[in-house]
Amino acid sequence: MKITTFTVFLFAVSMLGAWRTLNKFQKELIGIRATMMWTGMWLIIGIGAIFPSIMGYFSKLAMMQNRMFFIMLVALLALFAMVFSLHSEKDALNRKLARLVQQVAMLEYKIKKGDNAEDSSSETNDSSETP
Amino acid sequence: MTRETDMRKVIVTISAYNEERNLGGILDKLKTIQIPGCELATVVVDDGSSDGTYELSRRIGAHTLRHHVNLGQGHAVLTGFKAALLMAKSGDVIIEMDGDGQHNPDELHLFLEKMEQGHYDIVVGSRILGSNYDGAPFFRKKFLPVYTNIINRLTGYMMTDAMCGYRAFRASSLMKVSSVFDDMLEPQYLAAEMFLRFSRAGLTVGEVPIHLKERSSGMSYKGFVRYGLGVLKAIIKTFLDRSYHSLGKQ
Repeated sequence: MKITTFTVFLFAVSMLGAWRTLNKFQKELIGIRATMMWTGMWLIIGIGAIFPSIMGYFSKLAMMQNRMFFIMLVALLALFAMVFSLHSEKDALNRKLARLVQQVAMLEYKIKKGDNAEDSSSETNDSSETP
Repeated sequence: MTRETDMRKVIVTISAYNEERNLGGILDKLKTIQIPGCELATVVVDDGSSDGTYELSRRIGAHTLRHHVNLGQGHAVLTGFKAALLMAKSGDVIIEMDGDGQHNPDELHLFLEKMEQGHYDIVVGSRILGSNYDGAPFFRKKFLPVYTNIINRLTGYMMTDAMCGYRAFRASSLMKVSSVFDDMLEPQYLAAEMFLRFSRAGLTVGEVPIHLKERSSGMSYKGFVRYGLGVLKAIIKTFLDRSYHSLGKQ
């Protein structure tokens, strides 16, 4: 195992990334799913930097001659997973927003309807009190 | 007083987005319409307009709701249904029409007559059966029959125009399926999903020819090809949805 400055830099960056992810989770800024995904990503980068032979082993398992191609493929798959996850979250948020806007519209309408009914009933009461 | 409560209520729901220049004419026209044995009420849903649509509608005296954000026509239609069901009794009828002035309020009675003749739960306006369809835009002529055909095959209905926004519903039927309003996955492409879910719930559909008027002002916000792709997306999503499959079992 040959440790170069770049290896140390990559490992440090990955640890910093993992620490920041866990920190955000602790502050409840991100959910458990995102935390697991991002922590996993950072750890893979860190381990891959320190033990490049592991990447070599997995690239052979995936029947890829070049280690770089394997890393690119993993990164691409991870990006697809992230885009899908973001898209699903956006969809869910849009639906929640739409429901909220509809509920506000209905509530406003009911309140205004109630006010009108009260106004008209108080008007009736006033007129009935008039001698 | 008793006579008024005995009357059947016809609630017209209109969804409007920046239709200040068209809506006034429709609401004024609706005020003049007399249908024997029926009392007419109007519900307007302003879908986040930036012009004076909301204020105009309130001034004219329609029951007016406002989306503070523009959600799209389908969402506005669903809000209109919810508001209409608040004031409807089971014998009443809810009629949905567009706020752009293309649907003729004079044709309201056709929907009611057809509903009574065939005991239908829903009566849909058909632009294709209408006399002025020859002058329709190219894309509508090309794609409308295709989308309608797909929906017919999936629902078992025999419509000629599934995408027309001029439709009448028995209030009792809408009450029966009101739980699906919040389950709708693609309300911006409402027609496809609505017919799929309603056919699953066993509602029947009839059709009347309608004559589309030219917009007196403004522009349509729908691209027909994009809309069609959205319809296909809505169909696929609905079929994959669990709540759709549980509808038939109720």
